[in-house]
Amino acid sequence: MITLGNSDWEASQSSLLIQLDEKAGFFQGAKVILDTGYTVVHAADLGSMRDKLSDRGLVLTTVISYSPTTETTAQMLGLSTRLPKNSLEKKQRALGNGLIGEPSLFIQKTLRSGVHIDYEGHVVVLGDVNPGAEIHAGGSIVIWGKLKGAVCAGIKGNKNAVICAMEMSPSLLRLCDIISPSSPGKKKGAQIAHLQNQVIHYDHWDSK
Amino acid sequence: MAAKVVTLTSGKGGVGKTTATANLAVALAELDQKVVCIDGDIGLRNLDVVLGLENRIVYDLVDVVEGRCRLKQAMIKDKRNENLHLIPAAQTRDKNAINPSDMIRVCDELRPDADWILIDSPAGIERGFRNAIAPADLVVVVTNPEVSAVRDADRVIGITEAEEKGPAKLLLNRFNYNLVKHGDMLGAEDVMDLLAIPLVGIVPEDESVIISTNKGQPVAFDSKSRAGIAFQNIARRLLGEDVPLMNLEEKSNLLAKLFRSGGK
Repeated sequence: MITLGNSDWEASQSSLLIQLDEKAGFFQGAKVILDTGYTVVHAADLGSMRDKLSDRGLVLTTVISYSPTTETTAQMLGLSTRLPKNSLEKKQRALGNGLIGEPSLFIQKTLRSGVHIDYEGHVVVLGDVNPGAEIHAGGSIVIWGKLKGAVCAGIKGNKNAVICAMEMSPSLLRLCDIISPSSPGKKKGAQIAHLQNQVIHYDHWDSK
Repeated sequence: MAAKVVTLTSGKGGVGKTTATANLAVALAELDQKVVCIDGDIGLRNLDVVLGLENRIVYDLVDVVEGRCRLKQAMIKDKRNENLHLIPAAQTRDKNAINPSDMIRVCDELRPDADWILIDSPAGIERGFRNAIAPADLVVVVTNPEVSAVRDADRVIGITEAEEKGPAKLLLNRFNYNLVKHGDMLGAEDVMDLLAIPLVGIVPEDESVIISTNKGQPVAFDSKSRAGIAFQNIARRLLGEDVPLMNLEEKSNLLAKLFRSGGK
């Protein structure tokens, strides 16, 4: 585990690499978890970091960050963004008037084949979810676009989790541990999938 | 001159990356552009065969990278068109012989003296692919109207986006209008709908491509074949011209006319 803190990316990157080179033998084959603090790291930088680490025989597996940009970037590159046991701990925020906000991941992008999103809160996608893309969410999944990939909501057993999409044709749909027995068919328009007595139901998703 | 580096890639193999690279290179060279093709498929080279330059290879890309020759020595100049050059891949090595920074260095050295650098990427998304897209200014994703090819293209587009290589462009190859018309093949709209990236051109399925590939004489030299025209159009689009998509329906009508006249 390497903590880079909030310092300048370029500087911390080069000093890290120098240290790794000095102790090359010791670190050989190690898995690297990078804590980047609040620093915003772009995909090109993170990708080159991953390549440089792999040149030295290290595998970058996880990036921990407080910056949502860096988190999304890491996930797009197929890196994990959570420590195995570091749970989100119901970081709910009171919004006043008795409303409680829940943590969500907002992705304004089409998720293409090979992308895997793993998040403990809700996931909102403004774009399509293409075949071959996967989303695992502790909460609900809302897709403002076409759903053609694999989606699992309520993975920790949240029975209130739902999955909504403007066009519902998932390759796999799972709510808690119930897997949708069949695709919802060729119903037009937006739909919502929810659990009722251990069975997944599909309804038209209209304003309620 | 400052060359633009274009990498042609696909994820899936056999969709026509090498053929498309060779033909685009020829089409651009015929438009008086100085073109350098780089075969990125180290260990399985065949861009040289498709271009008909197989028996002129002395040095290759790995020789350049490892310092056994100068870049100019590995560059083969085509005798049919002085604008066209090829840097072949090594056949006796593998993808690990070079790394992304080597490719960037080679391309930077070529940039001042060329208009276009076309890189033929190997299939897959591993080292060879990373090498090929590292120096790219533009990534052209080649795909066929088949579900498997489109799925792989989607993955590759996702990776190029994540690497911040800008929006990729789509080249739809081996498009068979008759199959699409009868609902037996994905239509261009279906592919575009899923991949959602700008289209650079559609190349119709054409037997003359196979024949010319085997002869080492790319169809883009032959202005009469439909695939050749499609590649010339794509080259003009790369140069910024606004060329409308060719009428893909035409072929069946032409054939029908031929059959009709033959029947008389």
